[in-house]
Amino acid sequence: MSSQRKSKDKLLWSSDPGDLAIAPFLVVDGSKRIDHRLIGTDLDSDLYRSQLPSRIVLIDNDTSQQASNAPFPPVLRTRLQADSRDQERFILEVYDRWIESLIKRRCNRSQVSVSIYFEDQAKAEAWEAAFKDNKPLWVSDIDFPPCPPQPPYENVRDVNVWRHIHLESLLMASRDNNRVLHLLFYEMTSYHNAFFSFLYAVDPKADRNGGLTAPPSEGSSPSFHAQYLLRQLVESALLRVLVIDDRVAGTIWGRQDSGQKLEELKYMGIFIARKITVNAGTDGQKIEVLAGGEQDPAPGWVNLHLQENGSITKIEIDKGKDLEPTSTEFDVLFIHQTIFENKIAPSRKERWQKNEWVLNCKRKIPYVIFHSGRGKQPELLPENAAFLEYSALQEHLLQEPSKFLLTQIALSAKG
Amino acid sequence: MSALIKMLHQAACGNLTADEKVLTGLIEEIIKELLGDEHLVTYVSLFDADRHDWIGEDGVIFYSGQYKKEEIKDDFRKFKDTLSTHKAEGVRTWVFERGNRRYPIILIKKPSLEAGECISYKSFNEILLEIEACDAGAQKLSNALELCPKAIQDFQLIFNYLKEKHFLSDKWQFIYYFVSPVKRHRAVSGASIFVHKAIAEEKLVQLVAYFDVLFAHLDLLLIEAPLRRHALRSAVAAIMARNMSHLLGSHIEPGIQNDLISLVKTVSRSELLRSTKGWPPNGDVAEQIKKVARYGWPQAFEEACRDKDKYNLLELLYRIQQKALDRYALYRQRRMDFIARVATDWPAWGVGFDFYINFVRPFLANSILLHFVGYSDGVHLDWLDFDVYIGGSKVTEQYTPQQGQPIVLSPLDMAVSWGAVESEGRPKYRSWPDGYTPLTVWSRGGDMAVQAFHVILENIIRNSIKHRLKSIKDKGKLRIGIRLFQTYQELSDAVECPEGLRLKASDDLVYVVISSDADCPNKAEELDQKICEPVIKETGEREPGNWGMKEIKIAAAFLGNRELEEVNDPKPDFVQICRVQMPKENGQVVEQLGYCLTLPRFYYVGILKQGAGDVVSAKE
Repeated sequence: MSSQRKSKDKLLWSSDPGDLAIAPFLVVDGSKRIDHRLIGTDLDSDLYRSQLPSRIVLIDNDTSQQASNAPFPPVLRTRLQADSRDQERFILEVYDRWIESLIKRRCNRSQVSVSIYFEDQAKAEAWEAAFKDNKPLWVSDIDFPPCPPQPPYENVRDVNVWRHIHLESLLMASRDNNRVLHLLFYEMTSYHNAFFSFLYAVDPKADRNGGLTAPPSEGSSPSFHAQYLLRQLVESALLRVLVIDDRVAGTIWGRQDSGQKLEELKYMGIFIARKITVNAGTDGQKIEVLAGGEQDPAPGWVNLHLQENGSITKIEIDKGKDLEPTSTEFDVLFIHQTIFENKIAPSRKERWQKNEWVLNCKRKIPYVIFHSGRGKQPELLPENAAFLEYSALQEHLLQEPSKFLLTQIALSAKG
Repeated sequence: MSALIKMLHQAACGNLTADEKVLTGLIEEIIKELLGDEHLVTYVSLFDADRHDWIGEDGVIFYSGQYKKEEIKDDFRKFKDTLSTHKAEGVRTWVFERGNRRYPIILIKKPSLEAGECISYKSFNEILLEIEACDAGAQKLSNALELCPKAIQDFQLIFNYLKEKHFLSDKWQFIYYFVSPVKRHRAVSGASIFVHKAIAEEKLVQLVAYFDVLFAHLDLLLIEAPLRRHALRSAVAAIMARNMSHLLGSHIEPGIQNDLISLVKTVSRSELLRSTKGWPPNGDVAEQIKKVARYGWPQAFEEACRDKDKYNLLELLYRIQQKALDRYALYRQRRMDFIARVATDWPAWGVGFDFYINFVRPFLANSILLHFVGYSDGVHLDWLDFDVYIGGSKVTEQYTPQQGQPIVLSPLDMAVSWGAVESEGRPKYRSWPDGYTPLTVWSRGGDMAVQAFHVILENIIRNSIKHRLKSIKDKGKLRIGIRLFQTYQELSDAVECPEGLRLKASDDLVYVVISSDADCPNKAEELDQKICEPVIKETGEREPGNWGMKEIKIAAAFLGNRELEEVNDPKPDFVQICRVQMPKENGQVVEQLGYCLTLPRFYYVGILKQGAGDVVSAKE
């Protein structure tokens, strides 16, 4: 650790950015001279940033613009009147700027609405009371239904975490009423889900111990943990995740309720790649199908087109027979190391070639995570992608789906 | 010179306790002493196998008494840019990584030198390859090293650079490329010495002798750390894999295969089920379970399908069993991932996880593991209980019936509350942690640190059952304490260590003590000595014995965000066994044997310090 390192409660300072890699956010004074690698778009910058927190916030009150070439995410240049004496407020404000930009990136708006159904009236009322007059600026409306939402589910919002109400009920109600279900995120949760368990256990009103040494919050403002959790939840909801994994694809394809599972994942903002076309339209064209053989169409699955160097040319969601696929964008890519090595980029044996592939890929999908069950083998992995164990996907995607945990881990993981 | 020769002699005898700086310093001394004014510049390539990179700025170490460091560095960067522009490889890549043959000395001469300027080295007939820095020389070098045709082009490019663009192109006449005797692709590769006059034969003999010794010693120094690390990694993998086989493979898996129904039988004794309205008399439940044991679930279901109550009872028990199996399957999968992780590369990243929700609770709900961990010794799920304290607050899992007082759930009850569901997946018995305050800690590698924590718990429970069975049987219970302290001071106040608290005192850490009420507190010192044992010997061999303790040590190092090498520390400051004061229900305290661990604190935002007037100052 650098001798310049200093910590206080929830914040950590250092003159060496590497020391700060353990935190989810890196805050830099953007009005000062900064290392060009923090904002560069070249490989050297990408490699440098890969060892830093995955959310980099440059505070620059002289500008209202994103640095001309800095890619968001992971780099956000923003105005912020910072005062670290109130650490919790500072943390939440940094997060707010980040979420505002994510909302803009995702749906070109400035606000989203949120609904959390606890299936517990007392809990709902406590959250309602805490957030009624204290909602973040990026929230247009926040709702904690005290009673079970009923068809036609008019209280559905942009971001919804509802306990024990199946997506299928909402879809059925929308079909019955000839309404299209317009929402950004829906996740049915239950208490056994570690995320919901945490959400449920957090007291929104009083911070008995807001941090390790923070004094209790005053008045009726929500507790720090509740506010932080709300931001994490919305961030997770907004991120669009693409998974390239033969095992995940095969498991879902083979399920009796395959279509329903895909639909649930879709409303969580998670999509599974089935068909990958490398070097489309050239002599070297290669098509890899990860599940279901040559069967076409496969509604709900993603068809990915990319070049051998990692540049993504097209990402489409198959809409079914006689329907045009829709183009879409993603923020997070999980890719099975074996698929990368053996199917997508078999000729890229050297590390620099893999780095180059990842950099090109990141121009479309900013967060790239390699995953495998064989442990991390640095010599076989690119240096600018994160690495994760397969069991994390197995748990948070298939066994106990939780977009929250999946994305929080994804954005923390490093190579 | 005599002092130098003395040192070299010591080096040759293997008695030199020198680091690489001393040895590289010697290279400089030797060049100065032997070549004097003839010397222009020397480039030395040393490969650090530990970091997988070449040592020195730009991957080369420079020596020159006459020219400025910046001048040499700028020129070297230009040279690298030239190679990069032409997608060419450097000489060291061709010689060390691609060449099928090696010559100890390659002498590159400027073309068209007068005969009088050159020396014919009689002593080096077989080991010195002499070429001219021209196209023919490039061909000759490529052929001699048995390289592919691309090498010729690259050598031509390099020779042209040396003749025309090198900052000493008008001064150098000879380049002596000394190749290290170490036969690895990447190792101490050698030195290229630029001189304006041929080196005399006797000086060349001396240079070769000195360099051979120095290069061999440098190589030993540079290779030792990675070799030790590989030995340690291999030992760690062996210990973890063997312990998984010993614990999961010998206790849990056979239990699942041979007597899974014993879990159901035990669970049916849960107070949570027995207090449920409409729960059938014990005899009826036992009869149904007996049928399952004798005929299997399908036939038991078939028989019960005419009686709704019996069918519902079976369905409930079956769900509890299956949910428990699901949780255990994930645990087993994570364990395998964890072993793969500790056997390869330890992550430097982490995520903020809640201590109780993410670390403690899943273990309490791992009914299969807890049921079979002591099954062969007669200690079942209903024997185990946990006392969890975060700060001074006791956290209990509770269920409140629609009518009546909250019930504190044991791990046995949690098998029910985590398994029994109603329609739409709603839990039949909703439980929540009482007395709980969120406390986010830094979890290394996401779920991997959670697994490390569970490995430690698993070992402590198994050790208690193995060594203190009588004590457990006398009490009819095994109580495991998990206590989190938010500061070092709080920890110090609660523990007693014969030789003082060894754990690192830091504001960056929180501390966890795991205790067992069956263990004897007086054994603390003896057990601590065992946990201090290194994992491997000086020779790289595994230390035999106490592998359970070693596994705790490895998992504790992982959990505390330490380096792999630290698991070999004979005085680890990330794990210590001592006596701990555990609170009792009646407000008194009881002394127990405790395993003290460290967990990194979670920081929400990292702020780069850039000097005075930072937008967010650390001083505020």
